[in-house]
Amino acid sequence: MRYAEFSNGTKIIDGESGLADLHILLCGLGASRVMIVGDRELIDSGYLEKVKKGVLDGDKVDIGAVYLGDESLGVDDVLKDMYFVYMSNDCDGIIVCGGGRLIDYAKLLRLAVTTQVKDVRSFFSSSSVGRKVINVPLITVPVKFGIGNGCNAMALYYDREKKLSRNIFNDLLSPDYCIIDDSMLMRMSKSSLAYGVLNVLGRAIDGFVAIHHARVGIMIKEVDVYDIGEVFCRVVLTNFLDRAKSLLEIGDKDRILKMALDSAYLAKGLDVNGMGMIYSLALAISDVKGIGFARCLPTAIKASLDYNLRACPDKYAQALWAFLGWEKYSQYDKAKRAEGFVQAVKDFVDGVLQKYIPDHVAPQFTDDERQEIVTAMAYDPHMLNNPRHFDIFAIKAVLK
Amino acid sequence: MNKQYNFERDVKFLTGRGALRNATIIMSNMGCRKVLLICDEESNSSGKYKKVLRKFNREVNIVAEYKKVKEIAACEDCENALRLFKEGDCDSIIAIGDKSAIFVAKAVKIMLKDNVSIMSNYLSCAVNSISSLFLPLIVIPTYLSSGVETSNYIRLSMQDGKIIELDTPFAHTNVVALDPCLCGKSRAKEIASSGLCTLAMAITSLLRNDDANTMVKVYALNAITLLTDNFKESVIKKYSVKRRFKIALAAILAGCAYWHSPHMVLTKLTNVICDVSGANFNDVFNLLFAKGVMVVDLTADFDMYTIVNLIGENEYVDLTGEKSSEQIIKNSVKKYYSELGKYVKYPRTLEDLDVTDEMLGKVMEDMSAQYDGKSLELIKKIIGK
Repeated sequence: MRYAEFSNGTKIIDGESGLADLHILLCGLGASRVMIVGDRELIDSGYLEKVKKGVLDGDKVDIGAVYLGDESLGVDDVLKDMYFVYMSNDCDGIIVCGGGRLIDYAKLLRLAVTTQVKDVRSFFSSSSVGRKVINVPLITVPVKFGIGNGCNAMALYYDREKKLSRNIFNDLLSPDYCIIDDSMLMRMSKSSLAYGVLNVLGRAIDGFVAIHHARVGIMIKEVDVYDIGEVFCRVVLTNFLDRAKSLLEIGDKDRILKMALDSAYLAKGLDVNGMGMIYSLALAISDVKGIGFARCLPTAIKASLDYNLRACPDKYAQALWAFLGWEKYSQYDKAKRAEGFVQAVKDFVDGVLQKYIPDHVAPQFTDDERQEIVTAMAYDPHMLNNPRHFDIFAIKAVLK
Repeated sequence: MNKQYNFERDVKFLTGRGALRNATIIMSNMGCRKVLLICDEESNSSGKYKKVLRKFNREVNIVAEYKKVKEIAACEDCENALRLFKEGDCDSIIAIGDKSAIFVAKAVKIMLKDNVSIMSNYLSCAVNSISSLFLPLIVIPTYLSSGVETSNYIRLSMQDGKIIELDTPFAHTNVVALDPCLCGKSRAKEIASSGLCTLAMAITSLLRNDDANTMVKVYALNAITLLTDNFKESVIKKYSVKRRFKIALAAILAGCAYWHSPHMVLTKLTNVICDVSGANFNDVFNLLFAKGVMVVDLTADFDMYTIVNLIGENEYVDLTGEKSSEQIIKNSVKKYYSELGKYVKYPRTLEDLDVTDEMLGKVMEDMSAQYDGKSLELIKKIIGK
């Protein structure tokens, strides 16, 4: 009966009607002059025009500025720029269309404007709760499949001093609306879709095995709380194998939209649980090797399954039921179910890489890099959710 | 534009010890300065209302109270509560109690949003499909939960006996606070009835022709898991607050799933039978669901394989022997009902609830006027007419 909170925060709207109704949403949220954040690719494809039309349609909302972000710039520079553009154009709302990093920048901008705290690094500590001073409506339109940060209350900040990405958790980061537009997702290449599928799978496994800690007396202990996040993961894992295969083979609008929605809801659900080792390891590899997060996911999924196998066999057995279906589950020996799940996921990941991302090269690590990865993971609060205690040698071993 | 927008954040659940105390903090963050309290007569007389007030007194500024809501919510209650709201210049509403108090609070909220002061005129006056008036509604269930806490559904009776039913996003609940201190003693029969109703709502919301919304699946599965882990013990150890709390939470979640998926036939049929016979909603709903699951051809209409995969391993699901997914679901529902029958006597037929053939005749007349084709066939099969 321990106290627990679950907020279903961001509202998710699917389909093109969401874009067409942008002016209504903004009006209702109290915005009259918005800043649109996007990138050059979106301008070239004509997508930003569609967004602009949605905003200007009702003649009640104006566009104060269009900021074209460059994902290669450092977060501090971009945030400084965005803050200046937002303030100097008298904007009172934000719409962001883009990939994961751009959405994170827009969320951080919202946090800075809302709380009137320009340096978002002061939110690194989970105890520094932002106080809402100004209302800044934020609408996200993710244009990449499977990223999920369009509707959660978390953002990544690359810390140049420590050379690693740090998570900022704050309720004020949670957008008001997230519009999942299938027409944009349909344009993605097969390999991007495949990485998206792996991203969803990784987050679902992470959330499914996550455990909770709380301060009990002077100790931090594992506690039993009402766990809604796990159910989000179970829903996503159910028939995942079949759904993902048919999505990648056929790739029609309906299948993509359904999994994109699952991914978005999963992100909301994982606000409660937090993620675990897969996310944390992929992020650490990405920081150390300087390659994209998605490219690190296959290695992270396989390594974390091996690392956790003995720590949570029951959870893996339950996941097998959802992942492969009850008929196949009942054919497994009770003692072999956890291993069966690990093997099934590994086979799936290998299959996806072979068929849809043939140019994928698994990262190789030197001893120094392995040490750096472990150090980066030690900074990540998501590792606290992992069912197995932090074991430096074991982590290094699974990365070999 | 073909959607209705209310521009409010989705519902926030506060559960466990300290939920009431935390509710006051969240209300203050939402800008609630002057609050109207709406409560049903039973919660008031049983002392639960005072219990809530004791927790709230220092932090919440209650400027008006309406404690006269009867078992069936009436339009008159809504108008009286609305008058109090306006007189006190309130800016938020707290509903304490069972279904009827929640219906009245939701009705007041939509009346304010659409600027309507007489509820019976609402259907002819309200035309807005968007409203950005922010009016926080906090719901505090005091019984074993009826499942309507987070729904957008309102059911009110008019003076001439007619019923108004509304389903609008403007009747949105902002916060639900479930504190174990309010899950007081209940009889085993009531717990059983509430638990079975939870199961019925959860399974029904998963049984859909199209693929259910992710949130519906999440709420329904959560309800089933909580129920499976605590149901038997909550009936046997009826003084265990912890178990009762979990059943109440399961009921809220199941209600959330149920009312956000279109299953109005079963609800409507239950409501009509209750109106005609005066029987308890939960009891009738449970009976109709149990019968419905057995008579419906599940494989023809639903993806049963996915539903079994979603529910996952639990003690009521039996995979031994060669079975179809449909058989697994039917057996598991049967097992729930029969296991519970060992510990408590609950009504098993409509006759046990004093519903006569004559009454059922009236019900069929009413339903025939509203439904035809496949739905009417199903209704006939369920009530055996």
